[in-house]
Amino acid sequence: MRKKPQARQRDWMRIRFLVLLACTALGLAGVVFQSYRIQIRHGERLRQEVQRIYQREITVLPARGSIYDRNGEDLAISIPVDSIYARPGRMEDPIGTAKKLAPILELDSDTILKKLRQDSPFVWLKRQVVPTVSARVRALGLPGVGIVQETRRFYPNLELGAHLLGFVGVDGQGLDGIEYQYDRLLRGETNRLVVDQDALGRPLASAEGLIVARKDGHNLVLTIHKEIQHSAEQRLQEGVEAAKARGGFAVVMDPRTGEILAMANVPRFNPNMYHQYPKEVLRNRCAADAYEPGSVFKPILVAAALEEKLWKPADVLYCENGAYRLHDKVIHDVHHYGTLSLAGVIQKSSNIGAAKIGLSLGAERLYPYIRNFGFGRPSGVDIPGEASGLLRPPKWAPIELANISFGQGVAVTPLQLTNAFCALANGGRLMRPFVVREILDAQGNTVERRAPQELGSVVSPETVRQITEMLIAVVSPEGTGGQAAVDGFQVAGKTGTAQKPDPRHGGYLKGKYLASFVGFVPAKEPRLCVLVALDEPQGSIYGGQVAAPVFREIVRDALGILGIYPEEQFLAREKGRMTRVGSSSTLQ
Amino acid sequence: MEALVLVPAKQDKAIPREIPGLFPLRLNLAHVLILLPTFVAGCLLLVWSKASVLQERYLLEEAQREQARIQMEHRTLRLTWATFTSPKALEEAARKRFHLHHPKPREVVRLP
Repeated sequence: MRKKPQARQRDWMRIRFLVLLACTALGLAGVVFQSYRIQIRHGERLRQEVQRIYQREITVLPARGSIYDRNGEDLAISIPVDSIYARPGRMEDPIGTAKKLAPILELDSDTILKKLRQDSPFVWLKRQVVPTVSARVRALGLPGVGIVQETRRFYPNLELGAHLLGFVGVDGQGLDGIEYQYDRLLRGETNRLVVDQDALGRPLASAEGLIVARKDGHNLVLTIHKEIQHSAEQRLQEGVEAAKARGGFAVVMDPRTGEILAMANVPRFNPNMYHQYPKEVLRNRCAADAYEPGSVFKPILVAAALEEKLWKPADVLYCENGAYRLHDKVIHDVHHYGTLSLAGVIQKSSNIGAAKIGLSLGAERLYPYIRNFGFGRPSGVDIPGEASGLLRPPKWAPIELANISFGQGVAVTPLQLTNAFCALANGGRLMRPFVVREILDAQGNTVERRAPQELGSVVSPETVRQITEMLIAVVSPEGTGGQAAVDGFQVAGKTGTAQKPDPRHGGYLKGKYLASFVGFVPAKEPRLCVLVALDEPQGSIYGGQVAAPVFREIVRDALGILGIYPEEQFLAREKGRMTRVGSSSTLQ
Repeated sequence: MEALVLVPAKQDKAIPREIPGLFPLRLNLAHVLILLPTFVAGCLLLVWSKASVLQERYLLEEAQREQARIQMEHRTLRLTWATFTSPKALEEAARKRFHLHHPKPREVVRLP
């Protein structure tokens, strides 16, 4: 019996649907099987294959942190620059390549050719070149020659603060100064990052992109004031040239906090080209060198004598008319004095007077004061290579004690001496000197802020008051440091003219002196404590004549920079009247 | 039991209105016509979203490169600025071009 057309059509429909369903099921089964093969059976191998093609590991180099002065001005900054390299194995025409590169890289073509013929897979041709040079090399399109980016350290102020900042090697490692001391913080961390890329090798951004992955170095904010540093260096340079000295150094500190505002050394050097200078010039003498201080040490002795209540400022002593025999040695004064008061010993800088005060005090009583003022031990400043100075245990013979009393037989660093005077300027409180006041992360957020640190009280405020009066007298026309006087301010300070010891034969070098002046200003409410020393001045050798004028110039500039205005009562009068414009009420 | 089928208003009588008893689910042509486009649309959406993400990653990569370039330029400009405003350069310009000098104490005037 024949089926009805409608039934036949229904059967056909069903067959077609079943075929479709079977095909789909077969397809799906194929997909499932293929998924199993790809995901499970060969999953690991294919995953690795894909990763090899679509992912690559890159090294993310950190940018070295910047160094700022106390007002946020850049002192050291790193900039990416290009370096030119070659792969000798891939070189097609070494001679032609060398000839083309020589004028651009400003190198001898033979030198380049020698590098290109090295049996090495990689050689540097020239590192850290300016952008125009790398652009010209890139334009040549030489096979086997490549350009890679590195960072280079720049010091935009050239010589400014070079001894303090230090410098960085070609591989970005701190080699001296703050750069060395804080290298770990400044350097940052090299990070490895796996990035996706497409079939053409173009990188694809991911959640942890380059910016996130970069672990740049921290930034440092120093206590240094750029303008004061410049003034200190400039004035010191002028002073050294005027005195025809071998060199010089200066330290400027805030006595209230122990902050170092400037640290200058002459001769100077440019840290951008540090390798062109002898090692001797690179050393920060303010912290690394110890020297016999000479008469600038006398206030320490007198402070001890006053604190022990052994002497009063008005007490007098006989100064032997310029020559004092102590056992088989004779101590001399530059000028011959009969009797002098304790204040007079400081004002006239009598060695004999200082020796007698020291002998009356005794080694056992004097030694702790010298030690407490910070001598014979590192100050703890955050500068590398700080010297301890030299202070022998107090088993001193009388002549040794006498010598130490006027600053011989003891060695101090300029920083120690400045800090000791800071204690006198700060009511007897010794502070720890420091250079880094703040550490910032790469985004500029504060990581650490350093507060002034008091190391202890050395002498009483009453002793400080008495010694300050004596030091003010030094900077009077009758004192040895009259040339340190700054118009409009009361200055307290002390001159020093020290013989230089002979390290080879013992004793002292004939005709070689270190002239110095150290003081603080304004005397009654000190804001600045400054030390200036000139090494081996020719002509005049006295601290009061060669170092004091430099002190005056630095202080005058620094007070102006800090906005500390002259005091009416201390302004010198010209022809009986004031010439300054402005009312006294507006000047403090 | 019969399943309802959506059919056009003018239906050809030759085409059956249902596919009876194939599965207990009672899948019929209407279901297939709805599910298949949905599946295809889902696939297209997936491909489109993947392509969009890829495109965005290219753009993000480009933006990151631009950010790095701007940061570098910023550093370079800071270096240039610091060089021009170094005390040595300023003092030289002040002395030579404008004939200025450091003020003496009596030349300092503090404005109220």
